[in-house]
Amino acid sequence: MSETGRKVGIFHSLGFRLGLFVGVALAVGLTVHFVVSMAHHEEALLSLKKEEASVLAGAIQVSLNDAMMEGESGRKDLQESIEKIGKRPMIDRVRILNSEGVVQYSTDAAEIGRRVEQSAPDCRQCHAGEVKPVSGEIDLASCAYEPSAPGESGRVLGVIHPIYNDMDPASCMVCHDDRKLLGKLDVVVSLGNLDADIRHHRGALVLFGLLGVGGIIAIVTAAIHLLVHRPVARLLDGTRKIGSLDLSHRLPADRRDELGNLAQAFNDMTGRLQQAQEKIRNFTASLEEKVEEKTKELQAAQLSMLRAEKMAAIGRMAAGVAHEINNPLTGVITFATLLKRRTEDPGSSEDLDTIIEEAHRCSNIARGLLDFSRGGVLSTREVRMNRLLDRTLGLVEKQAAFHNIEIVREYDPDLPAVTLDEDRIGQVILNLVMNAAEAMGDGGRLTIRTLSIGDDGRDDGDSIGIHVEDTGPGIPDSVAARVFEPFFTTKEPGRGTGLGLSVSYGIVADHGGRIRVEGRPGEGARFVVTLPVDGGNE
Amino acid sequence: MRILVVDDEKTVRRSCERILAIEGHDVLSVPRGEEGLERLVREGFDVVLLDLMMPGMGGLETLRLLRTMDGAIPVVVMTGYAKAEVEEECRRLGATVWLPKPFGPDELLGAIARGLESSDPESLDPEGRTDA
Repeated sequence: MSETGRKVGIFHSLGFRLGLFVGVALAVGLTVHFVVSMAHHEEALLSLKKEEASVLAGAIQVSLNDAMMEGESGRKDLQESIEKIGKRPMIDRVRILNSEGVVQYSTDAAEIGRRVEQSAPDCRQCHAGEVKPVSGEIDLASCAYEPSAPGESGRVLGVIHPIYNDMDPASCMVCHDDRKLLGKLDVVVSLGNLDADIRHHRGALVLFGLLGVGGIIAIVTAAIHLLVHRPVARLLDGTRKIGSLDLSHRLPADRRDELGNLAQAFNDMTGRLQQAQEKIRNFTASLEEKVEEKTKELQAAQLSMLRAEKMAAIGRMAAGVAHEINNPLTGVITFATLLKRRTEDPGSSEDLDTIIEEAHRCSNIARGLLDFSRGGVLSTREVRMNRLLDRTLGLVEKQAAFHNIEIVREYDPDLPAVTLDEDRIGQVILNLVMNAAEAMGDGGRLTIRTLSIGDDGRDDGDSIGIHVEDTGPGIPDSVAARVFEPFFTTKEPGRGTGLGLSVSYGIVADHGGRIRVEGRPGEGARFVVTLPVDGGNE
Repeated sequence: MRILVVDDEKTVRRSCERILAIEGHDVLSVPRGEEGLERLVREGFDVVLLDLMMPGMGGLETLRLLRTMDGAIPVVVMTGYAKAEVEEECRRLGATVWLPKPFGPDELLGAIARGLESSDPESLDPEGRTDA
């Protein structure tokens, strides 16, 4: 019976039902067969028995002949013989009727003299309801009949054996003249054995029939179980597994019958489902990837925008301040100059010079700020970056600050020419290189690298990249975020204005490029400048 | 010479007055563009020193109007604001000399001299510079 899912009750199972069906059909068939054949059999047996009885009757007549031949003196013998014969087993009754039907001799002495009418029920079986004449031509063989009254031990069979005149003047004709039919010998035998046999036979048939049917039901049920239930249970189990999305499961499909085909078809379907599942998984994964990518891009863009905004705000404020400063500075320079012209005291003159100098310095600081806020005019032309780098490095290589510094050049030999303001970009490079040298106070390695960048997605067209790497202490994240702000410096007050990087930022931005810093504390710093080949904002 | 100074900053006006007075020029300084134009029309000057960043009528507007009235007079534009586009615009509108701030006496006098010696401006011929 099924092992998975809803339990199929035994009485609902296919196997039982089929078995029952087969069993019932078999039983009905067998019963019909049984009944018919039994009837046949019984008839045959009865027929046989009738023949036997007839033979017996003939034998009895022969044994009684001698007594009959004795005529009157033989009557007592005849009666005795009949009584003896009557005592034999299986013989129920023997009697002799004369041709008129009067009992002459009988095992039942009481009936002697009685007349048996031809219309009596027992006699009618042969005499067919007609009262036949006693004399005349009657060609009667012995006739079996079934007495209506059962004998002492059950069914009995009667046979009438006609006693004919042997037409021998020396024997029968002595007493009976030429009468043809002298009388009838009526023998009734018991059918007890027969009935017992039949009963026995029947019993055996029924028993074996039942056993047979039972056996067949069992076999059919078992066969169904083997051929149908187990494979179906496996199919069910398999579909259940597949239903819970274990799509790697395959049903055993080695059978060549319908169930095998079903399993095969199922496996095909499962295979296709699995493929679809795989596709969906891949699609989902790639979607997730894309989403992640886009999210990262968005975040980066957001950050970049925020920074640009911040810088722009600082720039605007700085420009305002710088611009404002220039007015009072005009006053300072003017009046200090006028004063200097009037004084004769060299000390005062010197002091005034100082004032004027410092005022100019203020002005430069202000200009630096304004440069940062993108106020400069660019005069651009096509420049080979590698050469510009070499020139700039050439300017500083011999300086004291660069004494302990190893300079490594990693130039891309196929770098395209870039449209830029040579002086300004030179200023940026110088700024970065000087910063690097300062960071590596005790010596280190300065690496200058150029590379070609294809279309980097945000700008149109190609860009180049310039890396200025040092092996200094590196820049902490908190500083890195602010390093391009004007006046932001990590140096002590008085050393450096903190303008260099902000100015560089502005210059690079004016060219439509970008500048950023990379690197972690302990790993040195790398400044990355990206410049569009075609000059960006021009 | 008669020199007109237009700048909203007192310090700048005083500086210009002092420098030019020492040189013997006649200086009039006004804080606003409208007033400057008014005085220019009424009195006539030889040179105009004009600041760009002023409240009210700004330097550029003043310059434009000025040029419709007088295409010849040398105009020295002073400014602390060094934006490239602005300088371009000024020259286009007819400024003669560009004088960045801060400046000292030498720079101022130099600018005036340059303005005078070129009846043509330092750069392009300004549009709208017509003889009325």
